[in-house]
Amino acid sequence: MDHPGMAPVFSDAVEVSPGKYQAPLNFTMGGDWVVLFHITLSDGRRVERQIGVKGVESN
Amino acid sequence: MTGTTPPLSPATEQDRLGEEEEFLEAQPFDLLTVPVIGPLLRWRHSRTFLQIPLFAVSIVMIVEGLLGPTLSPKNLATVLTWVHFRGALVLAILCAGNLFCLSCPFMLARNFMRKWIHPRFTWPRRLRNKWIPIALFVALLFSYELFGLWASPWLTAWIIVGYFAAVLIIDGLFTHATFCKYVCPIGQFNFIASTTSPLEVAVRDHEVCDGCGTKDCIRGRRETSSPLVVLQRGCELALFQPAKVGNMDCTFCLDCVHACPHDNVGILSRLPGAELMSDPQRSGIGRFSRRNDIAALAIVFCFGSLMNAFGMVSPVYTVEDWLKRSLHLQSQAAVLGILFTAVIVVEPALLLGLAAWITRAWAGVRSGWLAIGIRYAYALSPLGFGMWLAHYGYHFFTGLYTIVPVTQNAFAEIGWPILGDPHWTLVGLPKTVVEPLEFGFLLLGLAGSLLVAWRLAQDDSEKYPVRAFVPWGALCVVLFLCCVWLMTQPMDMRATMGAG
Repeated sequence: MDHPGMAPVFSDAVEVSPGKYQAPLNFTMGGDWVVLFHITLSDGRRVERQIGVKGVESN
Repeated sequence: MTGTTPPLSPATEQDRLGEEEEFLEAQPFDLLTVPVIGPLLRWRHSRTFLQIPLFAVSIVMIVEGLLGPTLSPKNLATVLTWVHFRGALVLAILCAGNLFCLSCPFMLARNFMRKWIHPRFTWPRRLRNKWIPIALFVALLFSYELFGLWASPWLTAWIIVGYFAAVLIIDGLFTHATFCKYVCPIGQFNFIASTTSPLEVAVRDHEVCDGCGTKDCIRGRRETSSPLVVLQRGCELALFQPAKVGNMDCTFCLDCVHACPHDNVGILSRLPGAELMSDPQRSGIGRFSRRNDIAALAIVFCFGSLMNAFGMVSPVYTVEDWLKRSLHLQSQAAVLGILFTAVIVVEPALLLGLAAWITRAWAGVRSGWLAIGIRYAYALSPLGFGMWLAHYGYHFFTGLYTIVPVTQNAFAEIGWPILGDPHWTLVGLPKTVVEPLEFGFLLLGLAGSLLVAWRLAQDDSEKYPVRAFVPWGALCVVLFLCCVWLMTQPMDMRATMGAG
């Protein structure tokens, strides 16, 4: 569950080991977040995936 | 050559001020005299002209909501409904008047239907009040929290579809503007909010009305040879212009403007909230002090604004968890039901009851405490409107530009990317700009509520106006502080995040 109109946060993932990627993300407010992955495979194909991160608490 | 104006004697100064006041009262600003806007609004098809774009947008929202992206921030239905529509609506009411009802897309569908289907029934007398739309308004606020409507394009689309269906069924069966006056929860929100608007549809010169024999503003005009053929509608909400007071129940449809054969109805400026400061007999409404239902609407409008904002900040989860543990509840609906009952029913009953009791006991106001509570409930409307403005204005301004990437995405999704790749980094105005606006709206609301309460207190107790005012002034300040507290809480909102 996410609210429209709220500021998205962007981050580029870097390969830390073969097949393993890492990206710093700063959840800027509490609530339910959705992480969208925009992935470009080695053969040029594009893949999109999303994961819900529910119940992020406010600082 | 220079010169100075000789000082006026107190009497002359008073006369001059009096003349200025009379001049201002006699010469209010009239939106219909403004170039371009005036002629556009006077045009007989102006409402249809304004409704068509909103109707088209509604259809796009339904299609996008049902078939578009499931992620709310990427869908036109949710972005337009919960960010832009709500914000634009309250800002229009603040700056002008009830412009959404004027351009209501649901009424376009209804008017089209009524070319072929003529309603036969009249709305039952016992339902001619605001209790049904109040219940629907609370149900909408409740559903918003329970089902997370902001996060569901699909549910948002079905709400719009449901609205169209309800309008067509009710106004297909019942005569006049039954849906607007007795059912529509958005309409009631607009009506009570627009009591604080700077503009109202009103008679320009009452002497002209005194000499009017046709009363077209309420009767409308029909074909002489065929009385069933309506040439021009009169007011479908039973507001007779010469006796109309303020914006309550006025949809700004401008039927009265078009119907008046003397061109004597304008969109005139007035002191915002002025209609709340007195209790005259109002056409189509009666006296506010005798309308428990409209007073309840004002209360729900004010306390509903607090509840709606409370549902979006961190402390709500603490309260919900506490309720679940204390009462051994599993159901989220039950927890929300308790919260809604506490904030929208119990809290106002206690606070208004206490204020009314003090007013009666301390200021010597003769009315019963219930009558006093009803009378002063209207004073809460400006503060409630300030809170709605602060809340919806926040989402509107901080998400203002999100319509751009969402529209780009909608075109891309249908395989026609004429607007280019979505610019998801476009969001809105920074919080540092928006937050002062929020508090400005709240202060404006507080000032309006205090002014209304003071004017009512002056009328109620010539001997002790301050005593009559203090309980209500204190109540307004307490509610204002609650609003400020809410707006300063960490938001527990829902957002989207992209990682690429």
